[in-house]
Amino acid sequence: MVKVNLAGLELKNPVMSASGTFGYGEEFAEFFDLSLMGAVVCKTITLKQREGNKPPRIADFSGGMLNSIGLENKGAEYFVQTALPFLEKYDTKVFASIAGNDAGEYGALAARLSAEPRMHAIEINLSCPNVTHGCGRGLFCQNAQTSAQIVAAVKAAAKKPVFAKLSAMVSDITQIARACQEAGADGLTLINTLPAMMVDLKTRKPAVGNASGGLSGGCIKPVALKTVWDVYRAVKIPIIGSGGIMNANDALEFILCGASAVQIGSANFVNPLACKEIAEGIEEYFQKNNLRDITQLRGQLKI
Amino acid sequence: MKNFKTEVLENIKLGRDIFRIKFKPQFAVARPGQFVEVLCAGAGAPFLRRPFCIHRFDGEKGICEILFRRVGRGTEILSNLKQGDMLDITGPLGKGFEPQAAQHHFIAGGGMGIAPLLFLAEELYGKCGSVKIFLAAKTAAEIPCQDIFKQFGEVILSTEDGTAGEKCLIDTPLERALKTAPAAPAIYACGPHGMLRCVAALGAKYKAHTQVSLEENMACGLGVCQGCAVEVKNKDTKYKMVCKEGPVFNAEDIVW
Ligand SMILES: Cc1cc2nc3c(=O)[nH]c(=O)nc-3n(C[C@H](O)[C@H](O)[C@H](O)COP(=O)(O)OP(=O)(O)OC[C@H]3O[C@@H](n4cnc5c(N)ncnc54)[C@H](O)[C@@H]3O)c2cc1C
Ligand SMILES: Cc1cc2nc3c(=O)[nH]c(=O)nc-3n(C[C@H](O)[C@H](O)[C@H](O)COP(=O)(O)O)c2cc1C
Ligand code: FES
Repeated sequence: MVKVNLAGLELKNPVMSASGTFGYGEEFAEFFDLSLMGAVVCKTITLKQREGNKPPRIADFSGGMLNSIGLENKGAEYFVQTALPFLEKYDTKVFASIAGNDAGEYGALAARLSAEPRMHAIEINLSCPNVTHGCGRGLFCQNAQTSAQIVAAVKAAAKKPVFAKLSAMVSDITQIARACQEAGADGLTLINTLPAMMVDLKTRKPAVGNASGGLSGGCIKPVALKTVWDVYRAVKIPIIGSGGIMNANDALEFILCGASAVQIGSANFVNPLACKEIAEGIEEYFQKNNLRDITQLRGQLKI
Repeated sequence: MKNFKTEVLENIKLGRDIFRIKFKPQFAVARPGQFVEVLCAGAGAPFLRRPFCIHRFDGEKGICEILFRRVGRGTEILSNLKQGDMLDITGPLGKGFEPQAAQHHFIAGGGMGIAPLLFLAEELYGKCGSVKIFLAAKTAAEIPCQDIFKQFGEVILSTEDGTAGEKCLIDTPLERALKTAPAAPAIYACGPHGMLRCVAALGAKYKAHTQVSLEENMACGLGVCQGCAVEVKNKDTKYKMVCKEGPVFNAEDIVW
């Protein structure tokens, strides 16, 4: 098995779900055994329940999809009472994903969740394009100082490894990544969806109710790969690659560019068995190529 | 629900842009109103699966059909499939219609909204009381399977151009029948949003229990992504998910 050590957390393989595309795993457990996954990253939660954005929330084209969900979720208590007991039945690591309006809210969420032994790590969502943050200054992760403040607040409250999830829609990703590392992040997840729009010429309306949304799927893979490669050379902490991973080969490309693990997002909608099949495909590639350890491939891009 | 690959047993063109695909399902049970998510594969294929209601189903014989209109690239790809081509299907999904213990059942289908109603008519037929089936479309050619519907109840047609049945929208014959019904019937409807709003209002006016099957753009179809939200009159949540809590809802619960 292609084991991975992520900031002290041992995953049985590098395959994780991407937040928001897997719920809390319950629906996918009808298709395959979640214990075959390295980790399940749950839908982002906020302190209180959130309604989400006006429909329609989904649009697509041949290369990918646009979503404007707006972090609809039932809140932290529901998560603790429903998702964690469910996931406890499986032999996999559980990541909570959190979002708030300011560093204080992020810290409060981290403190609440850290009391839960059934949660193994926290992913800080600093990069959702579908919510406007209190400060009205775009994504949190577009500002190095704000990112660092939030990471520090979560680190101070959390007793588990903390991963900061960033966007590629920033002027210099290495600067943001370093700021998160210095603030204590144990790892980074790269990348979230890209802010984007689709338009219906017939109705002259935007394709989603919130006008714009987040782009995901195969079309963002080249952007995500470059982001991972750039950041890999700029920081020491492990990187989880995400963005357009549709099959095992895509996942292996991310590992070559420096990712220690990968997250499967929109591919789950196309193929409900995607996580399982990608984990198997990675295993097969390692065996065929006589690779024993992920470090033999990670970052080994021939330049 | 299951994900499986299966052969196209038959793909028949039933009218301009209307097709019916038959395949062998790998599930033994399904409810009228439930749907399947079909992967459209090939050049220029849309990224996401496309949802289609189960049009006809026979678990014992292992037959499932979808009826659809070609409106974009995904349905164009499906319309070109030949016998023996492979389909990738997830289903059955969602919650279907719940037959009511009423004496009279009114089924109302507009446009491609007729798709799930044949399966429903078949189920209601002979079980309890009488079944009246109201079918409406822009023009006669868009009501493809009226003859099959006739086996399961009285069929009342209306078209916008008068090429079949009465020249009017569906609410005219529906209201007439509601007015003269001896007891409040149960209504089951599927069709364009405007039509459903109208049927919901009639149902409320005549105190008929009304169920509607809604559509919304979907990503997962499983209830995980919160993509297919519809606004409901509910204290706990503003939205419900069409794919999991629907597609069939009680009309009175929807914010029209
Ligand atoms: C639960 C559910 C069940 C459904 N059941 C059926 C069914 O049984 N039979 C069926 O024919 N359709 C059904 N639909 C609609 C069907 O899913 C869409 O028609 C299909 O997704 C269109 O895909 P496409 O790639 O061909 O078109 P797209 O490229 O997605 O759309 C092309 C154009 O068609 C328009 N369009 C999309 N959907 C519709 C629509 N429903 N009516 C009119 N215009 C539309 C779009 O706005 C766009 O302008 C159902 C939808 C849902 C949510
Ligand atoms: C419908 C949908 C909902 C998402 N919700 C979240 C979320 O709640 N939190 C988050 O951090 N990322 C969210 N994402 C982003 C994904 O986790 C992932 O980073 C992104 O989609 C890119 O990967 P992909 O191309 O494999 O989908 C969402 C993506 C989609 C498509
Ligand atoms: S389509 Fe994902 S929740 Fe309904």
